[in-house]
Amino acid sequence: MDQTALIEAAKERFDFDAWPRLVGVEAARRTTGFVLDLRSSFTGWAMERRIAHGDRGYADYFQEVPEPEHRVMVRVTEHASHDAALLALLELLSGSMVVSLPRLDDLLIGDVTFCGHDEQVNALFFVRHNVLVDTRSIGDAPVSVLPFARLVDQQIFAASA
Amino acid sequence: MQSPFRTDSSYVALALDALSSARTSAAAGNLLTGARAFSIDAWIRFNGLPAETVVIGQDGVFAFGSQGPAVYFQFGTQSVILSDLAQAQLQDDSWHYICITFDGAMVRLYIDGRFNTGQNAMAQLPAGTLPVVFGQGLQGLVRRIRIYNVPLSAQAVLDNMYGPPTSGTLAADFDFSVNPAVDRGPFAYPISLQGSALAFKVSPAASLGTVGFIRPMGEKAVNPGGGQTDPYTVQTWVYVAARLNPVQAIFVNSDLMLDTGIALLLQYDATVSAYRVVSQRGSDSDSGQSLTSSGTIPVGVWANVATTFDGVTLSIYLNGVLDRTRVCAPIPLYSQFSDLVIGAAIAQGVASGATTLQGYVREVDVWSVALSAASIVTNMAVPPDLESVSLEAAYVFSNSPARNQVNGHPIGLAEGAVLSGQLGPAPVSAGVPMAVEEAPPPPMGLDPDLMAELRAGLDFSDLVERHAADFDAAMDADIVAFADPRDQILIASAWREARRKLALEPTSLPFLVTEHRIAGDRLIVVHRPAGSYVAYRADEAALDDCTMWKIRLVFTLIGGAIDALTGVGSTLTDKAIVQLGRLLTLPRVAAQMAAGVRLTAAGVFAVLGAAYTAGLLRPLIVALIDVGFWTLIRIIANLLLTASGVGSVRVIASLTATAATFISVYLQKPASCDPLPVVNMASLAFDYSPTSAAGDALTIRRNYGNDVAVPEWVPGRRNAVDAPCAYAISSVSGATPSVQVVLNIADVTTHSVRIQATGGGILGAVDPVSVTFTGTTATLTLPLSHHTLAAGGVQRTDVAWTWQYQVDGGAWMTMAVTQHRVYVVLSPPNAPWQQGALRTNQQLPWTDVLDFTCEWAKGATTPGQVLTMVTTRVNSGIGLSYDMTSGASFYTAQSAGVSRFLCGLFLDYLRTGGGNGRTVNCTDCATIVTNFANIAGVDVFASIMLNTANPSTGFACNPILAVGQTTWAAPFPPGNSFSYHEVTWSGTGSYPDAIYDACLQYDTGPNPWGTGPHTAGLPTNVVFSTLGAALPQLPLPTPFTANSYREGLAANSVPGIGRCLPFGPNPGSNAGRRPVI
Repeated sequence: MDQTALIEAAKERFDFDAWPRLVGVEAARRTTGFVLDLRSSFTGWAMERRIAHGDRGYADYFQEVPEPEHRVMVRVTEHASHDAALLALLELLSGSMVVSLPRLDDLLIGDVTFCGHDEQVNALFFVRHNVLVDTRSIGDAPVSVLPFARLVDQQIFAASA
Repeated sequence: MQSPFRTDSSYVALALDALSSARTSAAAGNLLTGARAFSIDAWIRFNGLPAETVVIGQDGVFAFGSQGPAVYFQFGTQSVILSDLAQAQLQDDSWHYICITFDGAMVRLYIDGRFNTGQNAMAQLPAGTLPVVFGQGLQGLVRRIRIYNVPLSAQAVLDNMYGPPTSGTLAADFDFSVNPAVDRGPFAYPISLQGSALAFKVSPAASLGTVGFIRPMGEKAVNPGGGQTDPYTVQTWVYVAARLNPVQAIFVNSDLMLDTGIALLLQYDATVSAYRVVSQRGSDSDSGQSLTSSGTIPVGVWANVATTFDGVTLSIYLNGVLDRTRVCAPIPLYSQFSDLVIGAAIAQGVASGATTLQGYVREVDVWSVALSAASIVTNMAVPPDLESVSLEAAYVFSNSPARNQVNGHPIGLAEGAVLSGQLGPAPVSAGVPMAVEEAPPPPMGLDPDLMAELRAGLDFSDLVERHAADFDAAMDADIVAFADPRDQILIASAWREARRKLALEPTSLPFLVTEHRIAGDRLIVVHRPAGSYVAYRADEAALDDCTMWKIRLVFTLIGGAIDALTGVGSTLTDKAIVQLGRLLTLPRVAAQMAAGVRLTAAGVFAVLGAAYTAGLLRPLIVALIDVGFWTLIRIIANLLLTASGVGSVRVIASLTATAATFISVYLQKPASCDPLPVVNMASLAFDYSPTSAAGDALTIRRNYGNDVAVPEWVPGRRNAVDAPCAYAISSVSGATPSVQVVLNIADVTTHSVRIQATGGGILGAVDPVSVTFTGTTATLTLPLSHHTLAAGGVQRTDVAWTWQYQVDGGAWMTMAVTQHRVYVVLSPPNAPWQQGALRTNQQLPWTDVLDFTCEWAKGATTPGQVLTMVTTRVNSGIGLSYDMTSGASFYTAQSAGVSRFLCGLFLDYLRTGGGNGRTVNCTDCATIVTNFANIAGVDVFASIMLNTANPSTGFACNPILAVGQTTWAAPFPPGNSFSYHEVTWSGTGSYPDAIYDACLQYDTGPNPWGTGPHTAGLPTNVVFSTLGAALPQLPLPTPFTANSYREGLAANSVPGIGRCLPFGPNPGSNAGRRPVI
């Protein structure tokens, strides 16, 4: 058994074949050189730093100033195509110890979106066009990452061509 | 002290070519007929040294100028008096101070303040009627020419080089430092320019030429952008002279084709006929990111260009004004070392002349922080504080030799790049002000009567008499250093005169330093023939006796040398004291100082040379003397050229007074002051063999971005953490590891020297060993015969060695105390950690990880103990918490197709609580335990269990106590299952192999599947399953008492135990040994 088998298993776990596929103009839309800038978007949140992540991606770290136990990590990685981004999302999800995770497409964030098994959305993984986004609460006290995810999605959408 | 303000360093001078000149009235030459005594001095810079030039002359009366590299003087048509080329030579493109004195019988020539030659001359010429001419056949710059009505003494020549002449001695003072030039003498002779002579404004800078470039040397660490997201600032002054290249590079530290490094460039915009500034991150292809200024840099104007990056935002400043910004992603590739070039870009590995800056660059400052807009403006006006920890480099090209002012590293100029200056027409000087550039004597700083009392009370006669043998020895050493009897006579004469003055007329010494206590203050007073002044004054408690004495010693050396070679008086500021303190840390300087009463004039010269080599001489000069910039650059050039060369007999002779004065100060050593060492320890290396020879230490680095420099200890590294080493017990048990030590002495010696080290903790003391010096250096490989590295198991401990030397069996003298952090592990590290000669390998063991492993597994002597202790700590000692909602990994990530351990972020969590936070999953725990154990020589890997028949289903679990949880619960819906589970596994990762799982505790009771009370146990050193590969009949009967991991974890059913099977390492995880990043 090799990596392929595990990926095939992950497709089954996360119902990959049922993921919505973009068609036509939307499928061709790409975002290249996308650089996130959330610093002025959230009152009371400070950007800790930006570091390189994976292959040509980066991770931004934020901390809520009045409540420093609230921290959020946003990872952004561009891929060659929408399909490649979907496969990267699948690979990310395959590392989860959970057999399956809930889809969260109702929020209209991303083209394909997953979250954790919790009431509050402490982690959100989505693909918009050719960009994979991984947003997580990483502070000592959990905080919803939805506002971050929504804004990231908007910025990707605005930057797409 | 130099003005704290940063200027463009420009000055005005008269530019001449071979066909141009300046003229003044014939009457200006009336003094120069040979009938009366006179002197002439001139500041001049030759651009080419032709067969003959006339700096100043009057046809048929006199001529003073150059012949090739020599200076000459001639009365009428009498024979030419030529300077002695063996003593000094004129240099092309360097400022020289030349002087001729005539006392009515003898002509004396001086070059750069030092007497060169003398020759009898008699003349009685009629006064000339033709104009006095400045510059015939002369190509270069003229700054000042003065005619004196007295024959200047040698001391007066030296004093007048940088200081104002004695009142009433000037007959004419032709000042070309203003536009128009004027005669500031009593007769105010008119000056007219002939031909193409023109007053030029000269801005000292590096000219890149057509295809030149500048390559700072030894500057691998000046690497903005190398860390992908590291903050930086590059700020520079540039002048574009021509539009030849559409892209002109200012600062580049990587090939533009590579996805790493940064560049600061100029890009021509034809639509506005000017250059825009481009700040580039990564390559210039699509994968890079660049920011182009909206403003422009015109051709033919000096401009201040800066770029900053704060981790997210890239900015460009033009002349201190923020021009544009953009947010940036990290640079794609990490780069540990800089490939730095200034003035050209790197293409395909070499500096490209096609991108050479067609103009000049004056200064480049590199910071490891993003300066604020206010700081950018400030740094335009004020030089950076060289002590600032965030200042990486300050390359200054306004004087020669160019160096990084921060660390003294030299700078190479290639393919036609030169330090010269940008020339442009000089503006008309408003009101023709007097140029303020001469060095006035420092203010007295004390009540005149009290100072006179101090001065009158100086008496060293007894000291000189009592220590005559010491002075004899120093003098003899200087004399025998020269083979030519004439040189020996000169040196002997200089020494005798210095000793006579010290004994009988101490105030006639050029630079005598004394210390006094007045009104609760300590004062350092400098006595010169013209008077005395307070060079330093501070509260009595500010400095102890010994420190004060050392300051006097080194101030006597450097201030005395400056005085001897330039005639300029020095004062001590706090900044100067800091610089002198740095000088004292140089082994060569300390060795010379240790010579004490045996210090020679050659030794003084050696101190200058050591300060020059270390890059300290220029900042010392800047800190010690108070002159204008033009004077300063000439003094620096003069001293640096002297210090960088071979000490001629004249130079050494001029320093004898300094040596004699030093001896007098040395003899006043306070009782509280330890003797300075004679043998100095230059370095100590643990991992000294690049091929990991038997006996040396493990090759380690600090973390992903920083290596451990070898030798690990050099002077100045005072903390144990700064000089670490690591040993494997398996390598040193029954063996004798060794260290490599480099020693320096001041001079070749015939004495026997031994060294030893006491203390050393687990490294043990170093037995006495004889030292054989090769010249003045010895490299020793010393066995650690008394080490007890293996006795304590895994550990981290700080040790200190007191290194001592002994000369001719005398008392042991301490030369250094070295502190070290010692890491001891079981065996050489296993993958992902590596060993090898390449110190840039980021998979070498990190001391940042060893800091934790050696603490967590302290005392462990077996791999099993290490694993158990590390697993226990990860499970319950560092605050980790299981991801109960998404089960995702927080500390692993894919890169280049391989799953990697985000070790740097995890260390950040351990140290600060930051990083990626406390939430983890099983992959994280397995990876952490594996990496933190394998660095100590354990050999395990992260491996997974799942339903190999259908990996998509997972396996059902028992209630567990997940890491960081306080209640028992079965994991995730649906079906309380794990999709897979990853643990640290030994052996082949199969049924009988031991598992260590920091992710959870399970029920170790006889019925792990029951609903009753649970007995929590951490899975350490437990086999995967005692039942083996054959699937048993399920459910298993209770009680189940075997110590078997799977049965404790998985439900007692086919969907549980039946689907929980060994799989092996996760594909793409480097066989379960995830590389660290």
